Amino acid sequence: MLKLEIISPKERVFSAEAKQVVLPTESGEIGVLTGHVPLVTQLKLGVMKVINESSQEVFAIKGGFAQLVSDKISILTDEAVSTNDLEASVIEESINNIEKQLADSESAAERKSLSKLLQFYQLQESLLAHRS
Amino acid sequence: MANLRDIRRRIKSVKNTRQITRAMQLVSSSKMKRAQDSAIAGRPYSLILANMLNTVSTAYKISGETIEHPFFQAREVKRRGIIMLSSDKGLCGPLNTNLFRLITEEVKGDASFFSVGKKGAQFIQREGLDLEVAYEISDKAETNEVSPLVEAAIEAYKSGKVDTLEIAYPSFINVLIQKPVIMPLLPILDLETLLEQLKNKIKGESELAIEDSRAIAFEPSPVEILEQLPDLYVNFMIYQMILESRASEYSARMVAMKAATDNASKLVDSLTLDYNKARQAAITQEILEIAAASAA
Repeated sequence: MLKLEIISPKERVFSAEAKQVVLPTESGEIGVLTGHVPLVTQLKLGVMKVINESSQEVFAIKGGFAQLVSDKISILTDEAVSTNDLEASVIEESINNIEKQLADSESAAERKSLSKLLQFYQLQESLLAHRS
Repeated sequence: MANLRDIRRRIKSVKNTRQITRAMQLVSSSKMKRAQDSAIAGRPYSLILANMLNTVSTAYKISGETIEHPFFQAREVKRRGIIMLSSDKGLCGPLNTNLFRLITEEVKGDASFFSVGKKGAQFIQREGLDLEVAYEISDKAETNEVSPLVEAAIEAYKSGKVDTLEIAYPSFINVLIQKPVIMPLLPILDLETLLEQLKNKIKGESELAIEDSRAIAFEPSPVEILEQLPDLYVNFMIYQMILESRASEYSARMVAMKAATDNASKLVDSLTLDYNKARQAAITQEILEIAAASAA
C-alpha cells in the first residue's frame, strides 16, 4: 500500500493509505502504484484521485509539489479539498467574491493569484456537477 | 501619614489599571492560542518542503552539475539583508528589546533592513540603520499582505543589492520563553543542518520517508523544479516565521500583562493596608481630642 499525505500550509488535509494515486502534473496525469521509483514532481491545478479496492476519493488541488520515496507520497499544495466536502453554495459565493475582487484589482501579481484561485473554484464547481 | 482621600484615589486608579491589564491578558491569551495553532500547523509543510529541496539539490550535485539558481550560490558578503519581524504594539515585555539587542550585537557590518512592525521601524530609524522598506502586517497575516515583503526581499537579493537574506525574529519556544534568533535564509547552503533543526522542532509530528537507493525521477525535469521550488521555499519560510513571531508576541504580551495584573493586586493590597492604618490613626486622634477636651 502507498502511504499518502496531503499537506497545506494551514493544515494536514488528508492522510491515509491507498492502492493507487493519480497525480495531475504539467505533462499529464501520473498514476502511482507501490514500488514506483522515487519521484519528485511539480503538480498543476487539477484533479487528484486516491484509489482503493472498492472506493475512490477525488481531490481538487491548487498546484504544488509531490514527493514519492519508498511508497510514501507527500503532497505539498496551497489548498486541497475533497469532493466529498464540496458545497455548492460556498463555491458559488467564493466565485462571485473573487470575480468582484478581480474586477477591482489593479496590480498584475494580485490578478494572477486571484485568477488562479478562480480556476481552483471553477474546477470544484465542475467536479461538483460531475458528482451529482 | 498620607491624606486619606489621596490614598483612596490611588487605590481607585490602580484598580482601573488592573482592569485594563487583565482585559489585555485575556485578549492576548485567546489570540495566542490561535496564532500558536496556525504556527504549529505550518511546521509539517516546512519540513517536507525543506526535505524536498534537499532531495532535489542532492540529486543535482550527484549528477555532477552545478546549480545555476542564484539562491544556491554563495557570494562574498558585502551587505547583509535582514528581515526583522517585530510587533506593532508595545506592552509585550522584553520581546522587542531582546530582538533589538541581538541585532545590535550581531549585525556589525553593512546591512539593509526589511522591517515588519512599527516597533522595528522605529528602532531602525533611531539607530540610524539602513531601512530598505517597512511593512505593517495585520493580525491575520494574510498571504497577500506578506507577498509584497517577500517579493521586495527576493528582488533585492537577485539584483545583488544584498548578498544574504536573514530573518531576525522572536522564535516561539513555549509560552514563557521566546528566544530572538537570526536565521539565515539565502543563500541556501546547508540544507542538512536546517532539516535537523526542523526535525528537532517538530519531534515526531511528522516523519520523513526512509531513504530509497534507486535514482530519483523528476517530472518535468530537475531544472524546472529547481526554478519553482526555491521561490516557494523562501516564500513559505518567511510566512511561517511571521506566524511564529505572532505567536511569540501574544504569549509575551500575555505573560507581561499577567505580571502587571499581579503587581497591581499587590499594590492595591498594600495601599488598602495604608488606608486602614491612616483611618485608624485619624479615629484614634479624634478620640484623644474628645477625651482631652472633656478632661479640660
